[in-house]
Amino acid sequence: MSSKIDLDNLTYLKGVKSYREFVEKEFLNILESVSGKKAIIIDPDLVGALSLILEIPVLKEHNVDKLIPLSSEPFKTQIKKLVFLVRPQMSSMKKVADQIIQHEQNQTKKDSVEQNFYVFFVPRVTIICKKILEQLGVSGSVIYGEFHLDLIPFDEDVYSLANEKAFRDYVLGDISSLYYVSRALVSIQSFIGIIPEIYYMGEHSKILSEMLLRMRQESDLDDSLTPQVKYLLLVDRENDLLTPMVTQLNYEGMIDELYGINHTLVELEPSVLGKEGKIEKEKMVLNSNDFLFTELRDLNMALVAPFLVKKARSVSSQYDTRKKARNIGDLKNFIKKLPNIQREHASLGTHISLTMDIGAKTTGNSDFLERLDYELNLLVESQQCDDYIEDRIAQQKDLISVLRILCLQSMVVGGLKNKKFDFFRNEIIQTYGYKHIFTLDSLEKLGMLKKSEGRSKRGFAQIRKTLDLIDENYENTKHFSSVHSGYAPQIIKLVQILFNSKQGYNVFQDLVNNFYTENVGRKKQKISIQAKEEMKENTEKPVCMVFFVGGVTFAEISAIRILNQMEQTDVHFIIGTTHITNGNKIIESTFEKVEDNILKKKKDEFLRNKKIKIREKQQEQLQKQLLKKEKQEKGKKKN
Amino acid sequence: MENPSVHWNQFDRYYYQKRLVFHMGWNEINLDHYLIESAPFGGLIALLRDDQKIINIKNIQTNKNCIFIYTCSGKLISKLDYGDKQRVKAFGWTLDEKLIIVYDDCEIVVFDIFGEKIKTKCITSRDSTVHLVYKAKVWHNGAVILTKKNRLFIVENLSQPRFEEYSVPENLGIVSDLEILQPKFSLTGHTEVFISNLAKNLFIIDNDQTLEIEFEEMITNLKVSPTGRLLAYYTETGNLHVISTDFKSHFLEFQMNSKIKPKQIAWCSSDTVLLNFEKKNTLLMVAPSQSFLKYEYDEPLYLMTEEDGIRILTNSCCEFLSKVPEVVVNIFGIGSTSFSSLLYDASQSYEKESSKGDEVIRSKMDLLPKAITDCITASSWVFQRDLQKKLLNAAAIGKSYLDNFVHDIFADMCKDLRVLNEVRGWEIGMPLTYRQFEKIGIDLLIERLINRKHHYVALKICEYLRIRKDRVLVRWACEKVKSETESDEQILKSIISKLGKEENVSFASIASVAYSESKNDLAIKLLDYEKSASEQVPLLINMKNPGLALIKAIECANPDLIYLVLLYLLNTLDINENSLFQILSHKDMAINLLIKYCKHKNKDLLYRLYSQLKREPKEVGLLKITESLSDKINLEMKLKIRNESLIAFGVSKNNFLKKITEDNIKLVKLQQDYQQRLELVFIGLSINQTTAKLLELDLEKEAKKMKKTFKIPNDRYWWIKLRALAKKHRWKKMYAWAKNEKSPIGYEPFVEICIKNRVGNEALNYIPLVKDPYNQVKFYLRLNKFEQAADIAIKEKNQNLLQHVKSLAPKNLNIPSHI
Repeated sequence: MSSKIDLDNLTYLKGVKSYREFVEKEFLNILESVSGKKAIIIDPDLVGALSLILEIPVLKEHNVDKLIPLSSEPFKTQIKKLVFLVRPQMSSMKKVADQIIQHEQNQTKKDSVEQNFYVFFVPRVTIICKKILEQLGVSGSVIYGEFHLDLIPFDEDVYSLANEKAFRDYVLGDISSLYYVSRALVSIQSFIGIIPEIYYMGEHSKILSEMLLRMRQESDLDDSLTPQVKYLLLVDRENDLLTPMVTQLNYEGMIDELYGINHTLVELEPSVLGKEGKIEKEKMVLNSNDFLFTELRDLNMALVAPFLVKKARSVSSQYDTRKKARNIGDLKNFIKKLPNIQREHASLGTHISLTMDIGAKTTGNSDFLERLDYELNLLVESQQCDDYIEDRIAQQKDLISVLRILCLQSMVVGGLKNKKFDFFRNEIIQTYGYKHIFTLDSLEKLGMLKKSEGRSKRGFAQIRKTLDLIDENYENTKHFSSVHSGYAPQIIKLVQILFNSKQGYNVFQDLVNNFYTENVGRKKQKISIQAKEEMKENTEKPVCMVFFVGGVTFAEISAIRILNQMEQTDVHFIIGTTHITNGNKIIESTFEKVEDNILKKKKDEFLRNKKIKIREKQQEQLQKQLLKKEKQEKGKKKN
Repeated sequence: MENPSVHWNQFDRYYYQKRLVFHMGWNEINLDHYLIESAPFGGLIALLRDDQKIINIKNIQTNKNCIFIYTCSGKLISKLDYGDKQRVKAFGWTLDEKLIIVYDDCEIVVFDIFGEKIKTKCITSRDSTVHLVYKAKVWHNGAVILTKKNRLFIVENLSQPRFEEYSVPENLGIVSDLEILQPKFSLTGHTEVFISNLAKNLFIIDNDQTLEIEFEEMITNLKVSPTGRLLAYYTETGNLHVISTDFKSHFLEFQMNSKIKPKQIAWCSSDTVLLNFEKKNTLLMVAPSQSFLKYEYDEPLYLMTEEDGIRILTNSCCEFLSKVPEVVVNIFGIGSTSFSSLLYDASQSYEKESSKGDEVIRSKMDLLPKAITDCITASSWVFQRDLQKKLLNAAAIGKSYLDNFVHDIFADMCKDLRVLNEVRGWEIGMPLTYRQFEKIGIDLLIERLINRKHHYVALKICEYLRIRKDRVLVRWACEKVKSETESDEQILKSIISKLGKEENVSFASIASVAYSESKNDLAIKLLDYEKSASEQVPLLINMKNPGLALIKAIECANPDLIYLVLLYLLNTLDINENSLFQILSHKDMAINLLIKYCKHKNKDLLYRLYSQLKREPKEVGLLKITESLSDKINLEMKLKIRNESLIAFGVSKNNFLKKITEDNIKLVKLQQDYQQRLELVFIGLSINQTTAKLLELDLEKEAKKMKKTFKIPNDRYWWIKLRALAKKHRWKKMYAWAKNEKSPIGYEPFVEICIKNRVGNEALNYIPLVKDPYNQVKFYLRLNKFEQAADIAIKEKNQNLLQHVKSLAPKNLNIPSHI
């Protein structure tokens, strides 16, 4: 069987494409419903999402004059129609109210044309948000609407709710975002058909599976649509918090670790791309429209440079065909291909520069290599690195990176010894501050940092052995363990087992029960007989959406893509998630953000005052100079 | 039967027919005494007594402040009481037949036809001035108001009405007429307003500009065509003009030479203009070619422009005047030789059992399909059922000659005509033409029927056309609930028997009607049938049943609904905390949301909730800490709360948290002391930062005290001091320190920090102290000290290392290549 799949012909894409079109159309309808010139004030959280569903110039065509990020800062505008595009969150409501009230106050009597306010909630309006707006003094002068952008298509095979707060909410015991996940999964089923089989592992996934079934009852989903996705596997991030702590070593994951990828966008210093002299950061879109990136994204970093060299040769040989052209026909052929070659050439240049910069930050950086060494020793041999961590704290290195390796160690060895546990926590509080009392508490509750409870049969060492997670030979065979240079992400390994004809559900269930959680099971959704028949006739590989409740890493996404290409796989996987995450984001989400904001505000205020003072001084000086000049000129005239 | 063409009038190249639609069912109505507005698409007629006309006093008292609503057949639907406080300045209809009224104080109200207020909107001005209406005009989805103080307000969307104000030119003066170009027709997408005044000006006003045109004579009437493309206007000297609404082309000038101002101008289709001269009771029809046609009446008229013709209303009847379409002319026109006409004749001869028709049809089989569709299309235009039948029969006969004719259009037409004939009957009295029907669609037609309480007909039509009927059933049930003669049981039973098995029925909306009729028990019983919790919960809250509401909200796990109930519980005074806790008990999802909410809004409640829930004392302690970190309280308070948390940590035997917090309290006290002594900010810094700051200030003794108090490990203390000294560039002090005491962290950090601060010479001091020779070489190389590097390599007798150094060193340096 061929291992590559022609993405364009897959049936699941048809449903998903129509979903994408639906979303775009809905947004344009919103723009048209507000006639005339308008400004959009948008939750910063949503800018990236918006750029994924339509090109920014399209906004201009629909009379959008300005795109302003939502904040409480006042701004002036002559535009009479202000359209807010916001997430239904309490914090956003405060800002919306601030803006509306400021603008209403600014309207003088003379300027009697009313300003119109429209608030569109993404994906849905909530009663509580409306209540809060009312309490804040925003009255009937506002028109409410909804923009049903539930799942955002990040790429052809990745769908995300882009709800960055999801994980933190779970940490705080608030599982309400599961409801929105469920809504999103129900609404996508009206495009891809009802998913007949649902598997779940983890407490949240279990709740989610129940919600899904219930919600389907409530909504009138069309069950005659041929199911384009056959399986839905729901997994909890909380069941494997170890993998995200491991440094991602595939190309896309590495970019995320070093520069941060936000809604497929990465912002790079111009120097990284060899564009000296520029000040503004370069924005670069990373998705499958860039063919070269599609080939690179899943590769282990060690293989990226050789691959690029090979590619560079092939591009230059394509240029050479021009020299070999014997007649006009050959030349014409060449010209036809030229735009493609040029595009490939440009992309090649970018990725080579990027790879070089990554090289300097990783293989050329002893800090990075040292850390990787300790990480691998932990993963492969459970070798502890207390001195290293202690040293890092003493040097007051970045807390996130310290906690990442500390948590990794704690999870690998099944908890720290009592004394050590207290020691490290004390060190962290003394060095990084008292407020991290909450960070440590959250990490403890999540089981990422804990006291050892003696030898456990369910520890990582056992999992490693049973699931065969370590593959030292990853460079020679095509295996998804390459995304962490030899360590296979656990969940992906479990996915492989579940859909392997030799192992299957029972093996999967036993493993999950033994090592992870008692919350594992499967459910069926009824579909019409006609749909069943049509599904039987389908000869393509069945599609499975693996949905990560609480976040997925780029390394895991790549691992799933590699799994798709591995020989024994009978199912084609796509990915759904609440958001895309990594070790840093997970650690950061345990930070309590009470004081930081206030400090920052004070700092901002201070800076602003300073600026004003400087400006005042400058003006004073200017006036003095002017006065001087005047006097001089007068003097001259007298003379 | 006579040929239909005998009723046609030839006019300007076309045929027109004026058809009698209804004899009016009303008695003693003189249109002359009323202001009249009719809904488009054969809709209802509203009559408001014109108080400028003198009429018989007899009926005035009983029908004061009333608008009479009639069907087109003159059947009274209702008398709508518009209240006695305000005067009606303008009124009109929405497409689904709701009555829009503009009052003299600028209030706009949308009524249903039985007098229920559906929407109310008033201009709210900051300075609370009352705006008085000067002129107003209503269209099916909006209104335009010109106030006495010359301010112009527009409302564009009546389902969510909002006022927009347009600026008005100062020289507006006294207005002679006002007309609207609907937003869907205008180039800007905004409503455009045309205003003519006595000073012979015409103003075209939209949201951001005003265009002013001067005319030679005053305009008395303005009327936009049904497609919005043309504007007809009439001047004081009796000239009728037609121009395009973008004012670029002029199509017609027609001189009446009459100074009588017409009561109405109207359009018949988009090419002929009709003038209604009230005093003479004449109707004048003018074509683009300047030809005209006069209809004489002996009673007053009212004209209603429709998409495809014009409805003429008189005291005694309702007529419809429209162009005869070409397909119909082709069939019935005298001397027509079109094949459709032949097919029609052939079908007639079939009726007479003659075989002549057969030959005719077979003669031109290639023209047959078009002839069939023509007959079908023609049937859609005629109103008489027998004629419809004949035309369809002709089509059916034609069809039987063809194997592959698509049957659907025939079947669909039959169905649609059946529906149309039903609503065109006197009882419903809606003279919809087929084209109008296509335009408003079946949904709106059903809506109109429901609004008029013709539930049964609406239901039958839905069933006949196989479309969703839940809407009809729900609205029927809502009426049923109001019944005063039946018991709750009976009502429920009859509703369930009809709706129980239907899908998509919103029982919540029925329940809500029951509740507003104060039938609570019935409402709760109805709610049980509701599938969607988001419909159930708000209603249950309204019905003051939060317990049940919370259960339903949790069942569907919708956090928004849970919050809704929680907010209700928190904000309702007559619910005390105990009953709140009782309602919440064992409902984890709701409790967690309440905790999240309380963390932001109500900490006191949270403590009581924690104790109620018997949460771990550790959590209570942590909650105290969160509170103590807030910037809203002073330091004293902060320390007090932190001290309280110690008790909680003590109870929970969490020694670590207790110690950390004790340390923190100690730290804050020390910081307070420093802050006072040194007049520098310390509070908020960590132990490390505090120590570092002290060292930066050269307060070694205090720093040592910190080290002792908080048991800072030696390694870390060295690091702190190293960084502090480097930050202040105290290199001499650093060197003295390194020489006097033995570093527990080695000397590599010293070298590194010097290199980082670009003091290479300082760095050289420490390299000899570095233990690992390999590191020494590395540092020397980084500082470009190749000779020293080589010396180390030689001393270590490491040939490879030496080679490495040599390879990096500049050629001119004399580095030995062998040991």
